[in-house]
Amino acid sequence: MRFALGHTTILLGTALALALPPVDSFAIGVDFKGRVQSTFVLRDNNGFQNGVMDKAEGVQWRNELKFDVEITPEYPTGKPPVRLEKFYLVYRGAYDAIFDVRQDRFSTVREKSPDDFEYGRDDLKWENDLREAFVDFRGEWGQSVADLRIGRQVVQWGEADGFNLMNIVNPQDNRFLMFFDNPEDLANPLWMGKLELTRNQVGPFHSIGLQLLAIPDVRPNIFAPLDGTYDAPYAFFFKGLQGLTIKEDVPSSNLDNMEYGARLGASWADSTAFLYYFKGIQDAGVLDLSTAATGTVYFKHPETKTYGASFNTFLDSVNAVFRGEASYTDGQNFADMGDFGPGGKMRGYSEHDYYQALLGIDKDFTNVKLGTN
Amino acid sequence: MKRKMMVLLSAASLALLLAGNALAGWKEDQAALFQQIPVKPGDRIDNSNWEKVKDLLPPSVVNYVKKGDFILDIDEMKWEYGPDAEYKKTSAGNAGKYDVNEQGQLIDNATGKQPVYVEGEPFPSIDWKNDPKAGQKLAYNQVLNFARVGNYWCDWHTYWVGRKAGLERTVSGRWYLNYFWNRPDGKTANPAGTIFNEYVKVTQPYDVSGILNLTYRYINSDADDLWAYVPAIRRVKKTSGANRSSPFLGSDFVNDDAFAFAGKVESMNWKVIGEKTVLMPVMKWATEGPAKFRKHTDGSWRNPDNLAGPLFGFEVPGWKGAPWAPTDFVYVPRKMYIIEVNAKDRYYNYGLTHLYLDPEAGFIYKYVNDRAGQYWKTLMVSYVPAAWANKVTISTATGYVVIDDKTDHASSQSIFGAHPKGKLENAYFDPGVKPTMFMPTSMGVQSK
Repeated sequence: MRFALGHTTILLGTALALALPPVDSFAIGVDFKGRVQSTFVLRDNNGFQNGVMDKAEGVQWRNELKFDVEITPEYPTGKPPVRLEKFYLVYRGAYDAIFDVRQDRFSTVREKSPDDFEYGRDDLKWENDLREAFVDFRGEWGQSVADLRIGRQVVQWGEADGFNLMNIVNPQDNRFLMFFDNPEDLANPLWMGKLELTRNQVGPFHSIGLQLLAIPDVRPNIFAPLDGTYDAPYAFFFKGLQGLTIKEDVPSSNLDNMEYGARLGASWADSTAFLYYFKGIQDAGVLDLSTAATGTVYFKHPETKTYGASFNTFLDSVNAVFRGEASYTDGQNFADMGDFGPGGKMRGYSEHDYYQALLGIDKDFTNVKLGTN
Repeated sequence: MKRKMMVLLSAASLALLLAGNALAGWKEDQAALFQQIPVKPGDRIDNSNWEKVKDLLPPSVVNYVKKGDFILDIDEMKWEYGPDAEYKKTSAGNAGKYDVNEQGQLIDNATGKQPVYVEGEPFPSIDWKNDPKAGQKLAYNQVLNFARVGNYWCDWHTYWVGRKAGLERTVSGRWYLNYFWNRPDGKTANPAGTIFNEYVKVTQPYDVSGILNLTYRYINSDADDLWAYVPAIRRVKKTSGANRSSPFLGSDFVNDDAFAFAGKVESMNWKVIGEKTVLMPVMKWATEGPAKFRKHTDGSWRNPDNLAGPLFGFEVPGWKGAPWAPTDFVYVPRKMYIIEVNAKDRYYNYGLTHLYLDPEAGFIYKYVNDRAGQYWKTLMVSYVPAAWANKVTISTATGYVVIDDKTDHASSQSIFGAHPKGKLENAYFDPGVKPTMFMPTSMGVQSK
């Protein structure tokens, strides 16, 4: 269920039409801000495994336009207890000239595929995406608040940056900079409903909150398409599959395959803690080799259930914040060349219950007494 | 009959004379100040006559005038600058009720504990010469004075300003404060036991927009709780409450520079080292009377559209002084206390600091040394006298500038009124500002 270019254009045009006229002609506040970014990278073209920077090139890479439009209704006589809080739109468009400038180099990268998740060369060359488009509603009663966010959005769970255990709501977009970019730019937004129920000052707690997610939009992690040589730095893992067609097998986006999530959190004194539950597909697929004889193999995305917890706490004695995550996944699939399915055919993956934990520390080392004598 | 008339007329004249004298008290005090100093209203002080102000400003600011960075226009108050009489009466009623303990904490004498709620200045009368706790007491008075608005939000622009480059960067946002002490509506539910909750939201530029910083300032001795929502990672991060001296968004300001001092009083050692006449920066309109805030349809009290905050040098074509210098302050002589402040926390970035306090207005100048004892930077702030809801408060600012003299760089902040970029809205006692705005577990909803 990829967002069609026509829908993107309509929504983009609406957003701009609302952003450009004088604010005082509407009973709303409009905030428009964005950036233009051009990226130049020094790239080792054959990967570090074939010699560190032995075939390095300076490449003028993605040229990106990104902007946000926030549309906030104004309530001149005071905010009603149940209200529309805001519309929010995030657009990202990009163009990578390398595919025009060096057509010879990338001619073996497949072009756009008609299938939903089969990314092609055009998906790297162009981007034209209304990444996020959501509407917020708020209800307030005394010390309680209910916030409902409906639309295409990004939800990030967990405490850790980089290596995450519980950040499993939105799939990852690994087509471009991977972990060298902002996490929100690496997340693939999903159409979902998010309900947050929060209560202020409950006993010893500053606040407690319950977040519920309903996600009918089922998508996997995105990888850039392979070229004909399979010589891309990470693609060497798939060298043995050269000649095979690799396709995605993703459950359809519908109510039957809806993903669900719940997060219960509390904040008290110097600490915050969360408990998590998520039922959804495994975003990072496993390659099912059992159909290799047909010339086509599939990235499978089985359903999994994940239970987790996270915390962060500030310790005054060491002036540092400690944070941690732990998770248990029921039905996680891993690559396994020793696994054979029915009929003795090698499947290439096996299913395991999966436990993970991590601990991190944030400490500011800049508060050092420096003398100027 | 004629004799009766004469007696009546004499009595009336005497009454008028006495009333006139009472009303003219502040005028006489001001006139007496002007007689003691070598400047008078209407004087312009620049690098050609800076010696006139050498005893009327912190040494660093004298140097700014001497160098030609600052130009000062001297003026006088045309009204009795300060809070309303009703507030002074409420404060007077607190005499003997409160004290400061050995840890520097405000305590209620009746209970021996930190008070749950305070109304008015806790220390209406302070013997600064003989009371070793005079510094803390003056500071606690300011804590209560700032809280008089109940809650407060304002739009702000913070500027990074270099001497040659001029304006280098602008960051804009909105600042919310919700107080639990000294409220216009009296004591409210305060289960967290905080003096205030604070919310700083950044709205521009794009790379930092949506960042939220949430602070809880506790009545008890607990350090502040701080959280940050970072939209790039869509998460709430717990940050160290001890980092009050960390730079604010990378500027020359630190978090404790709001109101010149926004830290916990008990986190510092305080000592009043003197009282002298010092020139206080104010907007010209503030010498005429308080700004008349108007009641908005949403129930808040808003600043008038026609009154402006300061313009800084880089904003004024043809300005010859430093690009960070406020160009449209006037300077009025006031009696100020000079208070020596030193952080108890060994990780605090500031060393020995001198705060110049006008007890009617607030902390005006902050002269900061580094931890090695060398002079580092100077901050100055100008306040908003505001008339609203039958009171006069001086609880918020028009603008700030902090000058880092080690790097010859400055940051300034516009936080009030008509401005070339659009009006900087200020609101007091807004019914829409509720404690539920300040919940750490739902910070992300306020952003994206």
